[in-house]
Amino acid sequence: MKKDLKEFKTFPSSTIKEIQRAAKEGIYQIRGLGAKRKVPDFDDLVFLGASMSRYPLETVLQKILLN
Amino acid sequence: MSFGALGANAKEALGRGASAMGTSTTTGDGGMTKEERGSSKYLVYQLLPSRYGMNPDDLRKADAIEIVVGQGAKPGGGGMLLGQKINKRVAGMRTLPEGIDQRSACRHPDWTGPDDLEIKIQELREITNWEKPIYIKVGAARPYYDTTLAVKAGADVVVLDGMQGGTAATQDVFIEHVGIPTLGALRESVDALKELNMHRKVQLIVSGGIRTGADVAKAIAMGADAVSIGSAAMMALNCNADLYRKDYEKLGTEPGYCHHCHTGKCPVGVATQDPILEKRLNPIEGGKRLKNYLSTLTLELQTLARANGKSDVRNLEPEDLAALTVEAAAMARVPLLEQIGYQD
Repeated sequence: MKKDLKEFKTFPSSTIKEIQRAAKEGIYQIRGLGAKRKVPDFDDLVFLGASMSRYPLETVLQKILLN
Repeated sequence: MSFGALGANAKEALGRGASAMGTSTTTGDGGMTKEERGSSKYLVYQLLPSRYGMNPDDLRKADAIEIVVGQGAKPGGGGMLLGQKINKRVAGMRTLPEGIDQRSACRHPDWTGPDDLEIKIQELREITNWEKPIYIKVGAARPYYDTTLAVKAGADVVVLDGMQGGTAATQDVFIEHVGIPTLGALRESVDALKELNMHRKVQLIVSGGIRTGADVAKAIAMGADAVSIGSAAMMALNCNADLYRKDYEKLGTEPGYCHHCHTGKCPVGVATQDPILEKRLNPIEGGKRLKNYLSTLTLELQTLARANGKSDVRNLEPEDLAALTVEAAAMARVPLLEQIGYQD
């Protein structure tokens, strides 16, 4: 997109393209796979991890100690 | 996805990869293929409104039965498989004509609510000699109520599929505008199970946008017993891989952007019935890649459990999590980062 041009927030080029496709074909679009829109998801969560108030576990060492 | 949506090689590869990791795969719509049964140690048989390919012998051959009420990509919608993917074998399994678009029902023909469904579940248990666990799969629409009703109907497992879940084909408007995200749906479903005192008794499997071990760990921390993986497993088989670029271009797309499963012209041979394209997926190689992907998820999950001081991944809990955004905090009901430490 050219820097000095302002895109419509309500009508981004993908929306305009879809309106024009619908106007031409007269039927909804069919496709596969999942949603392409951004929704809140697991990336919006983090694990706190551990340090002093809670201790982490070792991997190999922990197994040796437990055994 | 069904056999029909996916090719036989893809089905076999999924079975091989899942079996190598000791986990299950699912038939999807359209019946059970011998490749899939043969390569899958644990195979879940999906019972859908279409009843394509359904027969009691296959029910008995399955390791579990999943009654599909809905799908996260299109809760409230039925199946769709376009004519270009319906070859002789697919048509034969569905007892429908070759090359003609198939649109199947969005409602089961023989029950209309949880009371009827309870009777249906009893029938399925009798047919399978009370040996097979019964799952109910719902698309994330009203998960609190849907989970409650699934438990009432007598499900052993509830499969909750969030809106990021994939499909072989449906209307774009359905995929983008119907259903709720996995993050919020999971919390509601767990609340329902806890209120019924059935959490960890009726198992909760969550799907829809699971990609990494971090996603798996977070889902388990929020109360899921397990996750199921669809689109990401296809990607492990090379869906959207940067191969055969010219064939992506013919579809008007590029690797990384392709959603053309419905066309039957899958450039990497996963979602196709075209014998030439299908050869691009070697089921043995594909199975190995899926196994590697699932191994990686498992290692990531274990790493995160240890980092949080847990000796078992099932000990992960909501208190191990913090939300980065107000929206995620509200949906997952996990505290925002700034609130950590102020809690009693």
